[in-house]
Amino acid sequence: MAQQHAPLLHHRPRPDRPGLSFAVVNGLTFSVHLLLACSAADFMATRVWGKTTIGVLALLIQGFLLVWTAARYDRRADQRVVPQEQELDY
Amino acid sequence: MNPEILLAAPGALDRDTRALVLVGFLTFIVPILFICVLSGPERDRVNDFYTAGRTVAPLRGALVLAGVYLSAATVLGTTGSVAVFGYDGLFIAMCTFLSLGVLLLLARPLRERAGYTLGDIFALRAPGPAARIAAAVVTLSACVPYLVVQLSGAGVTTTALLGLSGAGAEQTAVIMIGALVVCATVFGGMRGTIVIQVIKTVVLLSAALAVTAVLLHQFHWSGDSLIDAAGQGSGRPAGYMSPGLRFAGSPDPESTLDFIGLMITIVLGVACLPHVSMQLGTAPDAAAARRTVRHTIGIVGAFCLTLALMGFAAAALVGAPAIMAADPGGNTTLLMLTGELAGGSSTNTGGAFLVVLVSSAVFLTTLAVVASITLAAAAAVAHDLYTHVLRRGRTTEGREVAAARLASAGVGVLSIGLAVWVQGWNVLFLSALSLAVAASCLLPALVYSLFWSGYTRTGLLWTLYGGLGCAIGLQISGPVFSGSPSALFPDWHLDWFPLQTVVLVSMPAAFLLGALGSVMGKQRVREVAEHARA
Repeated sequence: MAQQHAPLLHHRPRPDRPGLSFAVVNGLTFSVHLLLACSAADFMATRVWGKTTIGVLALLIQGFLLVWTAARYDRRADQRVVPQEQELDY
Repeated sequence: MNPEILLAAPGALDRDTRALVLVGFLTFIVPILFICVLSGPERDRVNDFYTAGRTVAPLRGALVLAGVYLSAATVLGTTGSVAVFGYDGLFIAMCTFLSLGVLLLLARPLRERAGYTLGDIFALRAPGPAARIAAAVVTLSACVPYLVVQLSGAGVTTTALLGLSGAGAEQTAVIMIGALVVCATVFGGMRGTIVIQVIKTVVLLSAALAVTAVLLHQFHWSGDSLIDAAGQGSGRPAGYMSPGLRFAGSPDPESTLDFIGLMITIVLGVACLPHVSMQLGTAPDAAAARRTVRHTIGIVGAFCLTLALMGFAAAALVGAPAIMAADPGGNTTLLMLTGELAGGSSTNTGGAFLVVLVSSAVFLTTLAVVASITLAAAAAVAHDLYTHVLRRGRTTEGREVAAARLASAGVGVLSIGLAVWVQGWNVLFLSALSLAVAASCLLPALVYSLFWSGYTRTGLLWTLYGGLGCAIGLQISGPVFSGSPSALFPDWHLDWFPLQTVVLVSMPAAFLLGALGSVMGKQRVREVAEHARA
């Protein structure tokens, strides 16, 4: 019994990779977005087509980025749990 | 309520329509409240009362979490912000949505360590009564102002709906709504809250979709003409779609910092509000909690899109000056827009149905969110203060549930009293305060205690009390509280702190205090540990 669990005890708690990349991607995009909105008001008000401005487009992109990365994070976090459970079963 | 007063008062709708709306509204609300009370726990189990037995599946949990997340202040306030501030309002809506990303990251560790309250999570890191008292103090300071804001918003919208006006009518509405919700929480517990939240999310989503469909039809499904009309209606067509309207009144460096501070408060604060993190405890396991948040992201994202469209339409059809004149916080925007879309004062059945749908959705939103917050605050009082501090864990389940019911009633009555007292004041201060407390005490404490192994009891206490003192102190010293014409006390002059949002200072301060306290407290902990081993 003791041998079974020995490798797990020596594991350092690894940083949560999918979680880290999720946080970094969204956090970085958000801070760039926020700084742009503060410093480059005229740029954000530039029309792309019709009445749609770069600012509105950026807001939509930020939202879709969250949806996409959240789905990805959820999937990959599941995949990481499964091999660990198999390790335990051996 | 006397029907003659009801009908004699001047309002947006005429007599027949208002009667139709009132009947529709009552046939909608009364059965829902009955369902809520009847679905309460059968036996007095603590697990049942606080977390509904931890058996809520992800999809249902997502409906509940979306309901918890979309508070009345969010739904009504964001629509108003988009209508009045244009691009800045859109940014606020996007930040509300983005805050779910923070919750997604916290979901797994929170559920793995979940007890019933935040105090349970902190007590894993720092056993003993001190951490629980601190957690309860912070929970109450975040919850009670938020409750007061929701209740007084409910007063304003209900009287607007009934066509009444005046302070007395608003206070009566607050007391009646508050009493209803407190009864629902006391008898229903978390099970009742979950039922009411699911119904609320469904009704709110269908109302939002119906309003969006009608308004898009009115603008011939063209986004361009909608945005154009919104710019014209806002009175500031040149700056409507560019950043900077929200803090246009302040001088330059402050307005930029306030903008950044407000967005950071929303992104980091909303996810850390105690009732939101308590809701994660209803998921059966950590993976289910994460999946719940992921589904919630989809629901809230769709809802934020409709919020933006409704805000634009309100600016276009009602006009920003009229919105600001009705309520400086913009809380009546959604109802004014619905009245306008329904076809003015005397409307046909379809229009009346739209008004009934939206007003029921707004009313249910208030009801459900107040129930959730009351439950979280009551859990902090009953579970942390009563069971673990006062009785040192020696109590029976029946007694704790009884304490929780009493605490719900107590918190409810306290908030109703406060909401009646502050009626007519500008309560924006309070909602800013509770979000600031959540972002600058709970977020640092949660991040440290979930992800940093060197965090100690001293660090935890320093974070919680230091963050709380910093947030409240700076908020009181800021221009929202005194000094400026739109402040709570325009005649007082305590405003030495230039910013309206405090998080830019108080959150780094709380993080710093936590790190310092942990490093300094470590020496003592090591001594205690050696003493215990010897």
